[in-house]
Amino acid sequence: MHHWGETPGVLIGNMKRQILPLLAAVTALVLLGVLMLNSASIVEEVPRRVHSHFIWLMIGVFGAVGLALIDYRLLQRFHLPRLLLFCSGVLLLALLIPGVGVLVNGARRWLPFGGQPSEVAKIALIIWLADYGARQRGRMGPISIGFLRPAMLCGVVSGLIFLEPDWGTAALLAAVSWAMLLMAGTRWRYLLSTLAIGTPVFALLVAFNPVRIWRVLSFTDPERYQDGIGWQGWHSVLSIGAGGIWGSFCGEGAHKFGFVPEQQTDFVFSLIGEELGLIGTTLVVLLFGMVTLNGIRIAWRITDSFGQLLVSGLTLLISTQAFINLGVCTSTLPNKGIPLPFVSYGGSSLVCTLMAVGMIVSVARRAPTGPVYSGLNRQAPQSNPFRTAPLRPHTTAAVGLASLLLRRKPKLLSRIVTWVSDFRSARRPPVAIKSYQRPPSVPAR
Amino acid sequence: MFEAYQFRRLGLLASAILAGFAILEGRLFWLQIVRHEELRRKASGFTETTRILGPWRGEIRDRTGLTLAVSKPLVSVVANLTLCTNRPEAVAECLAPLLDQEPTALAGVLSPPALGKGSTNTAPRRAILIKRHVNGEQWDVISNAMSTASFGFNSSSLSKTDLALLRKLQKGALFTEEEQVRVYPPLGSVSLITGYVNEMKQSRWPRGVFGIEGGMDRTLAGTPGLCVSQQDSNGRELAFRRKRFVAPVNGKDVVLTIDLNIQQITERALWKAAATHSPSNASVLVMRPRTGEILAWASWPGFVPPGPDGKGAGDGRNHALSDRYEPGSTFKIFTLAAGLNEGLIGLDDSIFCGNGRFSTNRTTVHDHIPHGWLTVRQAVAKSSNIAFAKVALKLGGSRLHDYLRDFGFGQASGIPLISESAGYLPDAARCSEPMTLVRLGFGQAVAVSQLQMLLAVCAICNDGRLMKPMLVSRLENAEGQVLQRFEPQAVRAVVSPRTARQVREALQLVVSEQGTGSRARLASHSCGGKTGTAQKSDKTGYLPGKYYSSFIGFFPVEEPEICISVAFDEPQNGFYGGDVAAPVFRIVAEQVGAYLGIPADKEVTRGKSMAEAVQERNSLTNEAGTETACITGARPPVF
Repeated sequence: MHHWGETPGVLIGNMKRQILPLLAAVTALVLLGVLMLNSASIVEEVPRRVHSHFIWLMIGVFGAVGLALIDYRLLQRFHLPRLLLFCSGVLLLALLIPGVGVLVNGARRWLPFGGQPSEVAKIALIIWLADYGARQRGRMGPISIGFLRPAMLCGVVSGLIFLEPDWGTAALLAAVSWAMLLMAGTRWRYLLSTLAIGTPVFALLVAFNPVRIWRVLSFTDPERYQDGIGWQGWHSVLSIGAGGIWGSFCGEGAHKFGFVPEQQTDFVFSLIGEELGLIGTTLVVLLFGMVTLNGIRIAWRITDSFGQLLVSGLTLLISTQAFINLGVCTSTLPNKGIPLPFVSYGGSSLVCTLMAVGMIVSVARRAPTGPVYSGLNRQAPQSNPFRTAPLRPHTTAAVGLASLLLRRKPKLLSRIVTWVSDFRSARRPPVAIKSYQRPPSVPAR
Repeated sequence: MFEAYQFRRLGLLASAILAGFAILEGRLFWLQIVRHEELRRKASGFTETTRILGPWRGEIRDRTGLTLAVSKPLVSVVANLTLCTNRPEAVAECLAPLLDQEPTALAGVLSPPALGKGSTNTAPRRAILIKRHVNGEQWDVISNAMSTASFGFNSSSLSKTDLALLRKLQKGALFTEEEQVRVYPPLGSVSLITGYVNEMKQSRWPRGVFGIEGGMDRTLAGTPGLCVSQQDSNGRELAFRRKRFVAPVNGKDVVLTIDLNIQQITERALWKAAATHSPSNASVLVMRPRTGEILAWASWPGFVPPGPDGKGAGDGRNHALSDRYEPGSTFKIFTLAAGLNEGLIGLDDSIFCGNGRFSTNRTTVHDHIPHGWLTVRQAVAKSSNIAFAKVALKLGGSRLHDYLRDFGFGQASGIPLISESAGYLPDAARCSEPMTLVRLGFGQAVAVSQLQMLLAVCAICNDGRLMKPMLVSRLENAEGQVLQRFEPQAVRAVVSPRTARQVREALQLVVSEQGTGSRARLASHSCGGKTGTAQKSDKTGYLPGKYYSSFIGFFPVEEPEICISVAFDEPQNGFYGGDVAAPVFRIVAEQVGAYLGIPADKEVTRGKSMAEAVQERNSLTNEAGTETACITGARPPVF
């Protein structure tokens, strides 16, 4: 039986058309990141960051592959969601103890031996929320289960990050948790009222913080504040604008010589804009769009609630983080120190985002699939137990081409066709999914 | 499995995110296509740099190779504001005693601009000049002090970031920019010839404004280079990003014809005399008539060029070059030469000078004593105004005018110095007016500079050929190779060699016992010359008691090697040119003759003159003992 778990002997599984573009996009972004880090490291005497980036990349790739290979449902076992969240909470608390957190640019975000606990906390919170949402499926209506309990936990984690202080990550985490609660089934009224209360509170906190209010004001007109707080933002905009359509080519950027601070990490997008031009920046936006779209498509097709929530949460985390980062670099959003996933230099961020991709792939490989929800019918349809896969156009074309080329060798051709059809039949066996059970009905809303 | 509403919510979130990406893409279009040109221009204002590379200014040397002006490398100390703004007070505390500045004022300079007060009109200042003209030793002291300073950090307990900041401050809070400063050895009045440079605020290298520095500025300055490149945020050029580099061409060294030894001889004699007569100014020029080379140009009062601080000494005016005056009797030489060359008079012709008064056309000419009949020789020796007025009348205005013009009066000589006066010569029509003509004959109604007079007399000494004055003998590069050698240039032949010889013969009588210039007589050489005592005038007329006393002489008479012009403006304690200027000629001529080894031509009086010479030398060594300062190189007396 194949339906609840991977098919033996098949590496990718039955969601090849979602997984491969996702992996291709992530690979392209990682390569772009390496290229840009190499370009930016010209300002260093020894390219230490390139070396350590490769080491972190190795760790990230091994972690991702490991997570993709093991069953994602292991994450639900042994109280792992709770344990992970507890551990990251302890680490975040430890940062607040004076002497433990390493002070960088006025904030304690780093552990003494390296690594940012907030990166781990993001993943842990998403796993916990996905587990919670899946366990409480159909019971998310009432306020205590549906809203107060999970929201309080999210608030505590975000609050700890907020105290570091890392306002950007805290806001990002709050936004992603909000979106996950929305998908898990919490009522709109609770979520909207949270938004209605939380936004003004956040705005007031910003308004009474002398550093941040200038940061926010400077983003509205970075050129005006270029001598002080707007220096980084303005030069990032100049750098992107100077790139034009084609850019100044790899390695030719002029702003990495101290004009845009953190151009290797949080502001790597300005370097892409300058050296690769609109072509490069559009490519980055398209690649992140591809990651988002394919993540959502995976979540759309599978029929396991934990998997759906986990995949959509992780996808939203990656895409929201990318959106905020690109917005900051183009001065569309206020200046916040958030790395660009896959591209920016930074060990824990790279490892955590790659592991998130590993988890998404793991879900995609194993989760049971159902018929695609078209969005037209109000209820999710029952899956068709005898779904047969018709021959897709590109397969037809490939077989036709092969037959033309190998006309003289009918034996080989027949073997290829047999192999392809075997492969296809192995991928989509026309058997009933017996373990699927109709979910308890929920009143329509 | 999601419910339908969950799918809808997921779809909503996904489309929100994708819409966000679409907005970002629009923003990128806006920045990279619509505003591309504007942003590129503004960005290149920060990242691109075009530097003018200052060339090294050439030296000025005398003909023996001694330095008269040289450029010295110094540095400007510049503060790195991006670092110093972290701790302005501490940096100011450390720097202030080293730079002799007020700590509080310095801290204000180094402080960051107020938060959020940036204006679009000013580029951010990342560096600020805090002291100019610092030499290598001072900079070593400053950088040593900076590299060991603690900048208010408690060195025992430093966090990682504080330590990094401290290291950065110690290493890079200050940096230097190269600059060059012109140095002039204190050599007395030769600085009036050398000139000086001005520190222009807008350019980083000096520009010559006076003397040879000004007159040959282009040769000395060289050609600036250009470097179009990129810079980092601290304003340091990125050499590997250079787009265009044109190396500067250093200036050439200018070697003058001035000989510092002769200059010192001349200055010593001039200052000795000036101490006696205390004129408002005085100059002695020594020239070699055959080539037009100027060997010495001594002026009183002396001159110290203004340094970087703008302080100098002396009035900064080269009177022999820039002042014009009525020459008086020395001008009779040219009336005589014109008359002789035209064949209108001979040296032995007699002229009636009457009882010291001669009136023609409402003009009366006076001699200081009645002479009666005089030969032309005697008229020269006794300097009779009436005789030369009559010669001038005989010549006529236009002919005299042409001769005077050919002698170079009324036009600049073309010497490569700033502010040369062309003098004033009335035009031919005006010269023909009898009132002007009679006065022209003995050196009134005309304005000349001392240099013009000397050049014209040199033409007489050079068998009638007027030479262009030579002040620069050659151009050399820094390795001492000769790039260009200037040759003597004859301007024109003014009178015939025979006339010139006759004039020299007549001028020899001036220094005879009966002549007005008897005190100019040399012990070992035959010499000739002419005294001049001109009353000074202004708009109201001639000024009583203010004279311009001069003597122009040359030796030996047969083939003159040296021509010397001595002029005192408003001398006290005597005013006749023969009393004031002629003795200076004698002292200078005798020493220059000895220095240059010009063979003596006074065989007959040798025994006597040797005794005189010994006596002379003794008196000179006494003089020299008091004034060795100007030879050893100490500051010259400036009055």
